[in-house]
Formats: sequence, structure tokens, C-alpha cells
Amino acid sequence: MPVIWPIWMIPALPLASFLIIAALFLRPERARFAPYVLVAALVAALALSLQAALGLWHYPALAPLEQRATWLAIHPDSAAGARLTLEVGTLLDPLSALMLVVVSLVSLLVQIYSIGYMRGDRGYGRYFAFMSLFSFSMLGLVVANNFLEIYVFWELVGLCSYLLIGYYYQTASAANAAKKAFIVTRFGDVGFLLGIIALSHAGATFNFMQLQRLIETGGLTPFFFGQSVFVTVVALLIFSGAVGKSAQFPLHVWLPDAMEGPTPVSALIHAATMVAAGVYLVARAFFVFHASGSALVVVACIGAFTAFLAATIAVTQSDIKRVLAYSTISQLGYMMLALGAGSVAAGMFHLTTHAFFKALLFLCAGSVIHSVGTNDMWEMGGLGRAMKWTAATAAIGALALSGVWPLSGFYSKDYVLASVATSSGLASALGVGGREVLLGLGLVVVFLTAFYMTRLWAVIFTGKPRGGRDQQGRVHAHESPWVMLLPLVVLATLAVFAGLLNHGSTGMLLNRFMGVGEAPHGEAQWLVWVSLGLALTGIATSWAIYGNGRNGVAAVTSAPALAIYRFVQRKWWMDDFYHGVVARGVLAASRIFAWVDRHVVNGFVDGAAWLMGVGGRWLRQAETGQLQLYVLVLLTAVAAAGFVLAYLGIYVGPALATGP
Amino acid sequence: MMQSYLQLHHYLIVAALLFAVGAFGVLARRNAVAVLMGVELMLNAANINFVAFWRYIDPARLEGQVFVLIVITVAAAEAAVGLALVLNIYRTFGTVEVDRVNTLKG
Amino acid sequence: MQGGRAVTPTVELVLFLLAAATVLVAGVAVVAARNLVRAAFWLLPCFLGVAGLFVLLGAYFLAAIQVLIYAGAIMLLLLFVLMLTRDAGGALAAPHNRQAVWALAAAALVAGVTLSVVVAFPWPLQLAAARASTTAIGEALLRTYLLPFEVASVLLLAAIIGAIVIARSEPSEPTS
Repeated sequence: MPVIWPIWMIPALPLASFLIIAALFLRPERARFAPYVLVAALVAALALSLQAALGLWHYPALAPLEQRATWLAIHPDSAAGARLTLEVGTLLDPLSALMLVVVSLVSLLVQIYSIGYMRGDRGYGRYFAFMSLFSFSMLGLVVANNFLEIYVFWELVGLCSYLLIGYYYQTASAANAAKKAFIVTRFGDVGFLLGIIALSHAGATFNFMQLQRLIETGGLTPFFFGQSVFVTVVALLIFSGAVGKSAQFPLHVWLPDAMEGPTPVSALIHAATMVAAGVYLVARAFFVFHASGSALVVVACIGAFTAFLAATIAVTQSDIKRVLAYSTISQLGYMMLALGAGSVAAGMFHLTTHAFFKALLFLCAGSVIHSVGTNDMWEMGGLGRAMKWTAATAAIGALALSGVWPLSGFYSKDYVLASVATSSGLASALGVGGREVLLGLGLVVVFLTAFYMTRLWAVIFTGKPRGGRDQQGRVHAHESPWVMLLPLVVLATLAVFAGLLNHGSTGMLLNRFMGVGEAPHGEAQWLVWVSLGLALTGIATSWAIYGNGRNGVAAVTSAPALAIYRFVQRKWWMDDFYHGVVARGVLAASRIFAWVDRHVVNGFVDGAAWLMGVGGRWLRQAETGQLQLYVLVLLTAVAAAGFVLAYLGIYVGPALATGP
Repeated sequence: MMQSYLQLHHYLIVAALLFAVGAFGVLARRNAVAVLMGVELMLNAANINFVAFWRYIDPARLEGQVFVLIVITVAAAEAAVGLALVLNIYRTFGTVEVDRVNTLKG
Repeated sequence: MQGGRAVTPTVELVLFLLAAATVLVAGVAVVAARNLVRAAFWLLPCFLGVAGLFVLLGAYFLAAIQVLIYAGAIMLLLLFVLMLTRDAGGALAAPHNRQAVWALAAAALVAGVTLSVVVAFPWPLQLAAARASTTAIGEALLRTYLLPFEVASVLLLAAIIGAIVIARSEPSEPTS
């Protein structure tokens, strides 16, 4: 029997790191020790995660390994409401094991990178404290065994994202971005919570395993409609949480703004881990989605559309991090598409590879930004000469993202597209034609992805320097220190070789680990060539336009093209829409509420005071000192009492003799 | 038995009306002595009631009349003391208008 | 026929109406008169009317006492005090205060409640002979009702002493 250390220790380690850093290492003079605490915690967490994964690999019968502890048992009196137990616990199965390894590995690499990147910043200690808290929250989310627990960690992760986006809180744009992230994801979270409540009410439990059993055996007691409609509604509600957290349409608007945070934050939280939590949630709650075919279709459609939307916007952005942000949104859409097509393995595979190369790309971007001091790629150029390592690893990342063989992105993207092409669920819901539309969108995105990634890389690293010159005309770009380069290299290696996880040569390792069958390629072999072809075409086209210092976009002058360009560049006018409609609408409503508060509510209070005054003045007349008034009152009271006695039959006293 | 058109309630009506008149006097007159006059009227009304009841319920029981005697006695005592007070007030306040004697105000 | 009186019921009724009218009219005059002395004098017919009612009811001793004490003593006392407390411009001052209307209402209410009960209630109609001679009353006072009698005497004593003390002319500052 292998010894798998208790799973709760994995999130507990970064929590301890957070407490230690917060207690000891916040001040600037002591802050330089902070990162090592976190790195140590993450190394240990990674070791434990690997051990857990290996344990499951060698002994698959162990899964799912659950540890539960009751937090609060609720016993309502009514016989209809069953006992509801709030519990806290951990769940280890291939899904969570995979996620644990990915999260802890990427976190570790990003934190090592941060040691160099954040050096000299005043909030150094604060940064690592929040990062520790985030790691704790993320790992806790992964190992949660019930909906309530995952929701708690969900919110915690959102909080850490807010804190870290707003790291440079002195800047208005950063503070606003943090608020925007929190508020937009809030919309999703409300739906998520409603879904949790509905599901737990129907199943009398929050626990994943129990709910899965209930749904599969039809033991759920839905309180409206039948089981299938109920499950669909619940699935969509849960999905709304994922839409918010994973920045899918229409709640994707926060992610580009979230780039205000430090680049390692963007790399870890907004590329590799937190935004993947939405995908993880859908995978975790897949039994709910699976029980309702229509929910999966919705997931797929939103994923496909988001992928397309974000890819088009990425083509027009000038800020490095924004390009990568939209790229992230697009790839998350891919993962959702895979899940919607019914393949959890495809989605998780792409999540894994994406975590590696996207984090890599962000860290490279950080490298560049760190050395050049600007985010605008049009002020860069020709940095490949001065920053060889960064340029090389960035190229690997870009190629992986574009899906070029034999890098990891190629395999995972291919798997996603294949699962869409052969998805019986999508075919039955949307018809074969509908499925082809989604597939077509996916393929278009392949082209676009290759295009904008090449554009990014070419503009930054090739050609002549456009800006960043000092007095002597020399470019002061420099390569980053080794502490920042090491994670780049490691991630690049992973980006190259992670495809082996689900490769024929390893016998589809990942799929076997996750307990699913072989990849459904079957009759879709042509897909491989098509997607590769599209990717290469995209690269070539982009190179032709942007390579070596060219800027071919200036040649585009036709009006409709410009109109389209403007539309896309303005992010399909979505931010403007939200601002104009939602924000203004809310402001208008709050003006009404403010008026009500001032006049009605305050009016009540003022009115009460006025009443008191009037009443007091009126009552004072009982104290006039004028005896005749007192006698008047007395007499009237006696007369009234007599009236009551005589006519209302109310008598309090000894029995009277009645009648003559 | 007696033949009479008069019944108990006739006397009671008179007494009730006299009582109301006296009450009005107590409540509405400005001069303290006039107030006392109103009090006397009320006492008289009560006396009429007592005597009427005595006669119509059981004239053999003399409580009715004795009580009236006591009431008259008390009325006399009360008038004496009350008027002495009025004199005192007149000396203190310079007036016997009830409205002006309001040091209990507030 | 009542003991000792030889009037027909009709005459009795007329006498009652006369006495009642006197009482009420005089009473109203007492409370309404502007001139205080006139008001005090209106008390006289009122008390006499009450005495008449007592006679009609057969309480002759009481009627005598009523005249003696009320008409004789109390009214005089009132007149004395009126003389002693002459306000300047007293005759011109308004007789009623500001709450006169309310007072009227309250009085009407009292009258209304009482009258409605009195009229509606089925009173006993027996009219037995009145046997209330002065002897009997005197005996009752000194036998059965000795205690109230004595207490009343004490009360009178206290009243006398109290009245003297209160009405004594001592130097006292006017506070109005």
C-alpha cells in the first residue's frame, strides 16, 4: 500500500506560508525572505501532489479517495426536509490529481520568476503573502469534495485575484480593474450559488460523489419541473459561475483589464490557474452537465463563440499583455468547447498544455516589459538580438499556442477539435450541420491564433528597434537575470514535451490516467492536416505582414475593412455596451434609491421627530396647572366610563344584582 | 299603595340635569366663588337622588335621609374651608380668577 | 294617599313640575349670571326648590334642614366672601373661561349618559308610605348611625378651625 500523504496538507502548506509571511516578512527590510517561504511551501506541495498522482497511477482502484469531516449538521423538524450536512473534506481522483500537479508546478515556477521580477518593489512582502493566500485558495478549490467548499474557495480565489490585480493600488486604472474583475465575476457567482442551493436542496447534500450517485440513479428530488429540466437549469447556473471565472462571453470583459496587475500575477492567476478553475468546475460537476444534454450544448456554443470573439480582438491589440489576455480567453473557450462536446479528457489536456505555454508567454512578456519599460509592442522591435533566451522561449511558446507539430499545443488542440468533430452529443442536439459550424469556428480560431501570435512575436523580437532608445541611440533592452530565465526554460521544455502526455507513444497516458478510452479520431484524420495547415498558413501570412519590422496593416485603407478593424479593435463594443447600459442603468437606479433614502426613509425619521414634537406640545396641556381643565378631563372620563358600563356591557367588579 | 303620577325616574331626571348644570358651572366659571356655587348645585343634585331613592325603594330604611344629612354637613364644612381658601388666594394673588392661579403650570 | 298629605296626584304632579322648574332654571341662572352677587342670589330659589322636592318626597325634616343650612348659611357665606373678594372690574369680566364649550359638552355628556340609563332602567314603582318622623331620624342618628354622626361633628370642628386658620390675615407675598 503506498502512502499518500493526507491531501489536506497540500493547500495547508501555502496557507502556512501566508501566515508566516504576513506575520514576519511584510516589512520592506525583512521582505526579501518572503519568497523563500512560499517557494519552500510550493516545493513541498508539488512533491505531495506528485506523490498523490503517482499513487493513483499505480493503484487506480484507490480513486476516488475521499476524506470528510462534518462541519455542521442541520436537522430541520419537518419530515419533508431531510437532514442537511455541511462538511469539509478532500477528494482525490485523477481529475484533481492532474490539476494539483499542474497548479503547484506552474505556481512554483512563477514564484521563482517573481523573485527576480518583483525585486525592489515596496510591496514585495505583500505580494508573496497574497500569492501564498492564492495558492492556498486554488489548491483548496482543487481538492474540495463538495459544492459548498468549492464555492468558498472560489470566492477566496476571486478575492486574491482582486488583491493582486489591485496590487498597484495607487494607480486608478489598477484599482478600477480589480473592482471590475470582482464585480463581473460576481454576476457569475450569483448564478453559481443559486445552482448550488438548488442542487443541494434537491439532493439533501452538497457532496459531489453523493450527488453524482443521486443523479445517475434518478434519486434527486427536484422541486420544480422534472428531473431533466431541473438538472439543465442547475447545470446552466453552475456554468454561469464558470463563465465568470473563466472569462467566457459575456463575462469576459474583466480579464483584459486584469492585466493591470504584475505580470507574474497575470501569468499564474489569469492564464494558468484561476481562470482554469471554471473549466475545472465544469469537469468536476460534469455529472450534472452529462445528465442534461442541452446544457453541454450551451457550454460548447459559448466556448466556441468566445474563442472566436477573443481571437478576433487579439489580432488588433497593441498591448502585449492584452494580446495574451484575449488569447487566454480564446483558449479557455476551446476548453469549454471540448467539455461541451463531451470530452473531459480533451478539455483537461488542453488546460494542462495551455497552462504551460501561456504561463511561459506571460513570463516572457514580463521579461520584455521589465527590460524595456513599456507594454506597447509598437514601441519595441528587434529585441531578439538583446534578449536571446527570452526570444527563443517565447518562440516556443508561440508555436505551441499556434498548434504547430510536434509541440504540445498541437496535440491538445487537435484532440479538442477531434472530440468536437466526432461528438455525438453535439450532433444530436444541433444536428450535424450545427456541429460543423462549431468545428468551423474552432478551425478559424486556429488560423487567427497563429496569426496574432506570430504578429506579436515578430513585432517585438524582429526588425529594427522602434523605441526605447536612450540618448546615445542605443537600445537599453537587456536580458533578464537567471532567476527569471530558469522558469522560462523549464516551461518551454514542458511546452515542447507535454504533448507526450496524450500521445500514441505513451499509450495515451493521460486518457488512461483519467479512465477514458482512446482518442476519438476515427474518421477525422483529415482534421490533423487541416489544423496544421491552418496554423502554418496563419504564421506565414502574419510573417508576411509583420515580419522583420514591416507593418502591413498601414496598407489597409478600404472602408469596410477599416470598419471591421475598428469594430474588432473596440472589443466588439462590449465594454462600451456594459458601461452605457449596465453601468448607467445601475447608476440611474441608485439615484432613485438615493432619493428614496433621502426623502422617504429620512422622511419617516424626520416625521417621527415632528410627531414627537407635536405630541409633546399637545400633551403638555395636561400640565397647564389649570385645575378646571383637570376636572374637565376627570368628568369626561367618568362619563365615558359610565357609558361603557351602561352600554358596552363591560364590567369589571363584583357581581351585581340585576333588575328591580 | 299610593296613586301617583310621579315615578322615581322623574326625580332622577331632575337630579341628573341639576348635576350637569352644576358641573358646567364648576368647569366653566372664572371666579372661584362661582365654582364653589357650582359644587353646591352638584351636591344638591346628589341629595335629590338620595332622597328619591330612599322614598321609592324602602322608606322604612332611614339610611337615605341620614346620608343626606351627612352630605349637607360635609357640604357646609367644605364650603367653609373652600371659601377660606378663596380668601387666602385673594390675598396672595390679588385675584380670585381661577385662570390666573396657575403656579402649577408646567 | 301619602301619610299626612292630602293632595291629589294631579296637584302633586303640578307641584313637582313647579319645583323642578324652579330648581333647574335657578340653577342655570347661577352658572350663567355675569354678576356674581346675582348668581349667588339665584342659589336661593334653587335651594328652595330642592327643599320643595324633598317635601314632595316626604322628607320633611330634610327639607327643613336644607332650607336652614343651604339657603340660610351656605348662601350667606358665599355672599360674604363675594363681598370680601371684589375684583376691580369684576362685573365686567367674562363669566366663562376658554374651555366653556368643552365644559358644555362634558356636562351634556354626563347628563346624556345618566339620563339614558335612568330613563331606560325599569325602576320599582312601589310607593310605600313614608314613615320618617323627626323622632325616628333623631333616634337613628344617635343609635344606629352614631359613628357617622360623631365623625361629622369632628369634621365640622376641623372645618371651623381650618377655615379660621386659612382665612387668618397673615402677611404673605403675592406671587402672581
